[in-house]
Amino acid sequence: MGNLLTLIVLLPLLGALVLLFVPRNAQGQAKAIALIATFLPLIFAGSLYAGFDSGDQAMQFAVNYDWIHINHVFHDKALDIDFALGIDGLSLPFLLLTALITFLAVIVSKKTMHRAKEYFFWYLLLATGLFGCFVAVDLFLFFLFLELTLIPMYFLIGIWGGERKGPVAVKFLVYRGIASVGILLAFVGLAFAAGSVSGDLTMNLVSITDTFAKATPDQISDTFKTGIFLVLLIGILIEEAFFPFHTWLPDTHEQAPTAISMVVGGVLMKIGAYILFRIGVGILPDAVQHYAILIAVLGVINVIYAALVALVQRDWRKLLAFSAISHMGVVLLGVAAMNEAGLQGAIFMTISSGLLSGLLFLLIGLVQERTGTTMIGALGGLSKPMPIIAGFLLAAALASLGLPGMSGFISEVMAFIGAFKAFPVIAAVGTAGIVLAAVYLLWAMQRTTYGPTTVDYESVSDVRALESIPMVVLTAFVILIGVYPAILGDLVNQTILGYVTRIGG
Amino acid sequence: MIAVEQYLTLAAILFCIGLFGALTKRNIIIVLVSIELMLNAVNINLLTFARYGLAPSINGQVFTLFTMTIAAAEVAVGLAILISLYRNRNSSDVRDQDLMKW
Amino acid sequence: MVEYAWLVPFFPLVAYLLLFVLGRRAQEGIVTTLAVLASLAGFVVSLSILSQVHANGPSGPYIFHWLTVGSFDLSVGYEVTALNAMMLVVVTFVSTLVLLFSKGYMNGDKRFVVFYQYLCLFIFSMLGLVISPNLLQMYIFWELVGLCSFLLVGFWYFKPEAAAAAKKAFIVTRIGDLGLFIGIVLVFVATGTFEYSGVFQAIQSGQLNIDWMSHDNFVTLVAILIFVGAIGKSAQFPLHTWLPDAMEGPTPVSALIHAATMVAAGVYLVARAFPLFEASPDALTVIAIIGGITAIFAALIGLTQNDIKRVVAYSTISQLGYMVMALGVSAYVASTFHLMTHAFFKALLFLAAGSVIHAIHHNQDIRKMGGLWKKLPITGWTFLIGALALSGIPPFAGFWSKDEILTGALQSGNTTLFVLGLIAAFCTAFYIFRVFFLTFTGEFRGEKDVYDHAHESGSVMTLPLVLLGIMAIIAGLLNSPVTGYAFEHFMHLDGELGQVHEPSIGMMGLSTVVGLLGIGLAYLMYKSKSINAEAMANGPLRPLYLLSFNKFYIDELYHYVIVVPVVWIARILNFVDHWIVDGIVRALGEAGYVSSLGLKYSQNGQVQTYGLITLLGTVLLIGISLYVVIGGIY
Repeated sequence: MGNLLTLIVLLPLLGALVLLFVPRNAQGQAKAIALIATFLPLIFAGSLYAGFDSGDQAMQFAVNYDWIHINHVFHDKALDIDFALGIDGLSLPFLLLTALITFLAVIVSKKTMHRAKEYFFWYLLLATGLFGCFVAVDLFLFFLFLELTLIPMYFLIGIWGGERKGPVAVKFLVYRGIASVGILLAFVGLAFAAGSVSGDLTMNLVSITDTFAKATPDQISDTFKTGIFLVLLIGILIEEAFFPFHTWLPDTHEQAPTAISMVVGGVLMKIGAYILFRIGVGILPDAVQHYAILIAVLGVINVIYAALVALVQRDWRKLLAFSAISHMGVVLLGVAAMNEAGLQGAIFMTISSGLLSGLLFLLIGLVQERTGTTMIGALGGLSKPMPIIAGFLLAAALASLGLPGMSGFISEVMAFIGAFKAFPVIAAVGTAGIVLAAVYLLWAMQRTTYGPTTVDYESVSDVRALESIPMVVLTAFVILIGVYPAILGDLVNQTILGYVTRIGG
Repeated sequence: MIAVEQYLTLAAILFCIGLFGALTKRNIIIVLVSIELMLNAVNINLLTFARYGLAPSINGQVFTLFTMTIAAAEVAVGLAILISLYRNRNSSDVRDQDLMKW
Repeated sequence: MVEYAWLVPFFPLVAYLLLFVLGRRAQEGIVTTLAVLASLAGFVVSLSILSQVHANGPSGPYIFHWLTVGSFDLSVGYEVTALNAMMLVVVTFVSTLVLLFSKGYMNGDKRFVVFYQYLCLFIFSMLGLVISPNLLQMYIFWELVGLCSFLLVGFWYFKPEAAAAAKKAFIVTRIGDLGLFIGIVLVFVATGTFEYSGVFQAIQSGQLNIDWMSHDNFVTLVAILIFVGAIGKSAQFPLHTWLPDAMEGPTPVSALIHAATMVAAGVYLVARAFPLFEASPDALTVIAIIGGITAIFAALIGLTQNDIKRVVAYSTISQLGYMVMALGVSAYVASTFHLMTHAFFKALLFLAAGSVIHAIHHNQDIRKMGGLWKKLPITGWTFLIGALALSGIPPFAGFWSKDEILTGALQSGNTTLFVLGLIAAFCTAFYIFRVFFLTFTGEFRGEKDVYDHAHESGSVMTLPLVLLGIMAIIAGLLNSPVTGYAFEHFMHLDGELGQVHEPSIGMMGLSTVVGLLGIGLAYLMYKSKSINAEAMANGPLRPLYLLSFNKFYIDELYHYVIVVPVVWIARILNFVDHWIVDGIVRALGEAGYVSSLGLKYSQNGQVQTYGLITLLGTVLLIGISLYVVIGGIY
């Protein structure tokens, strides 16, 4: 089964290589290859889910190949970098999310677009990077995959984006490049600190985690931990588009093509949250607790600030970007609480926000394709010509504002239970975001689908069969998690218990 | 017997003349010649230390031979570039060869 | 049968799913049959549950695992108590009739099936709310109820007013929900459980503790927060503004919202969580005051409105105020009793109003009605019954329950509340009979053509009216000397909650007289015309009239005090976001660009210049290193 992980990561890469041998004008073939190269990982990820033992805290399906060995890196210690993959209860949901969104986004991508072959090439490289991030057990490998997401995204935005694609692509690259610096610094610091304690310099995530868990304050000082965490946090804040480092996200969403928006909102920006869980909570829980108030306040600022800014956006895409920022603020709140409910809520929120971003950007993409605009003021009465899309838009908006029975609600409940346990006042302020979300989402949704139908849109068509697949699948998952959250909760539960025991001990 | 200082002084003088020429002469050929002067100054230094240095060895002489070979190659390439430049810009003045400015 | 209580909400859910699958092309007859049968089945099951509870007492909760969070579990399930058995019967009864009535009212609408889908979902949500054994599950259905009201109020989505009303209903109730949300989360944080039983136990044993607040204060805080949810849902002052606007929805929806599903949820919640409120006298006082204010406030607004549905809507707010006030003065039985009787006569009033509106081509303005008694005899009679019940005239349903509430208010020692309640009762009788006289008596004031074509609707619409009319007459007797206070004994199967008040003949007489006075005034002003209503409105009472007519300017107040500032803050933040947060970023980029614009001139292409600078640099570097290493140039 372990080889499945390797396959998941390498299949898109393989697909990209195969694409190089496809003639430039064979765009249908290019899309077919991309479909296969993302569908197989989805199947494999599904079978991994089936074979996953949710009672086990350790990395499962692990593979480990020796890769790079450098002598005398630091004094007389050798550095080992391995091609190590594995999944636990934390990474599996992210892996499934990635597999789902990357596949669905290919369906949405048009084979008729210009330079389609190149598009799918870069897209598959991006997919490799995304998969790799969530299954890598070696920090170096992780960072490598993180960087691998960067370059393809630059081209995907820069070539196939909207009218301001150039500057926005650069902005994306610069922002996330800076984030990478913080993350790399933190990774190296972690590896060296762990190496100095265990005497064995390695980038392996599991052994670093163990070393940190066992190390006494004499061996790794609290100052060092908090310092490293602060560096990491800055990286995460940029990566995850948190205020005040968020401005790349609305621009990116505004300019990126629909499929890429889905991937950015659905998966790419969730990497930051994943790092926060994996490294922040997993390795440096003391440091997270040390900065708990700061993180919580930052979370609340994000929730309310982004919600208020979303209130006056004129473009759906920007509104959704700010809405995502606002939701991810809840994640910070949950993490800052550092208890079972808070952490589980944060993970739920991340996954839920991923699914919903994917769904919403897809729907807005469909609307744009038919009406030629995403400006909220220019739309209206779309319920009449396209009742199905309008219905799904309503469902997605309601899920996003936290309606029970959908994934957003249970995430919010758990995150806020955790937050209220830890800091009731800050959490109480944060709940204002729940009302604001209802205000801006309903407003935008109603402006788009309610009211009299504009003459121009009388005869636009409803959803086509192929497009309805991603729409239905994403909505189904949103409802599934909402109605029976244990499907996700059971996966992450053991991992969270592991984290929480570490906090206590 | 000639002392080390005298060799070194000669080399220094040669180097300075070469440097001056390379930085001030307008004709590219003169500049190339000046560069040769500088290389030769270095060669003298290498030979001097090969003979009178703290640890005299054959390495200095070997290295000089290398330098001379490279200097020869460099002149060949340099002259080729020069001819190409002359054809393009109709001038052998260094000041006219400013295609690489902003 | 009690263990099959889940069937009651299950039937409408199945109907919803079936209708969803059937899609828009389904025949109206099939759709109606399906929905009505589902609801009727629920009603039958509810009745048998009711009889079993009556015989064997409450049962449950039946709990199933739902989600594990770390080391604690969340569960879902259902339970049957006397309170929710009563609610199940009322909700399914009213719902069945509304579903039937809608067949006639919505006849020919393009989205007929969608309407029934929403109705079934609405009924399912409300029933689910009622049988929830824990706060979280209750909250889930609570929100779903809110969603359905949003969908149904905005059913005619192409009407901008309907869309705005739907949005307003959702957002205003959501503000209340926020309080409820915080409340139940705090309860969970303090007790580690959402189950009603667990929470009540914790209160009794004084363990509703949290380290940053004392037990008593915390109970009060939580109780008030949960009550805030009820304020939103049950349209209590100051979150009542959504309910009148919600009249933009089709009339059957209004009947459902006002009688059985939406607004009843708030009162039901307070009643279900009553042990929590009982533990905090302060919270009860707050509830009583809010209820009292709402009762009088809405009644005053109702006096001057011209839209038939809006008048009835304000009467709902006012009656809900009574129920809440009753809970506040611990008159638990009186409140739940009024909840039940009100469901019958309010559904009746709305459906009758709907019948009128349907008959005269969807006109809702009572100034353009009149003389419809001859044309719509059944509607007229049933409306009259409903109006009498609402006015509290014996022996109609409203009399018994309202009377108990007033007794409770008086005996609680709070005379102000009692007086407020009495005045509200007077206003209620006045405005509902104002509507009655203007609608059914005198001359028709609209277009003659419309009047000629007006006729009583078919049996699908009149049958519900008649059935509800019967209930509006007899339901009150359930808690009267006639039946030996059967309702009270039944409710006490849940435990002796609240206080029971001795009914007094004097009180009955007083409330009847007040009701009759109201009716009499309405008669004088709008039937016999011996008092000129116009002159009163334009005379010295004009400021008061305008105040009432404009709903005390609450909407305007909220617009200028809340909406406008929030939008401005949002605009300012957006400005900050664009020009300061992102501005700094772009300024950095620009700064790099501008400085390189200047610096590029150093790149002049002159190799010799580069060489010279390199030379100088080298000399400088050597000098510095010598200075640093040796400590000076010798």
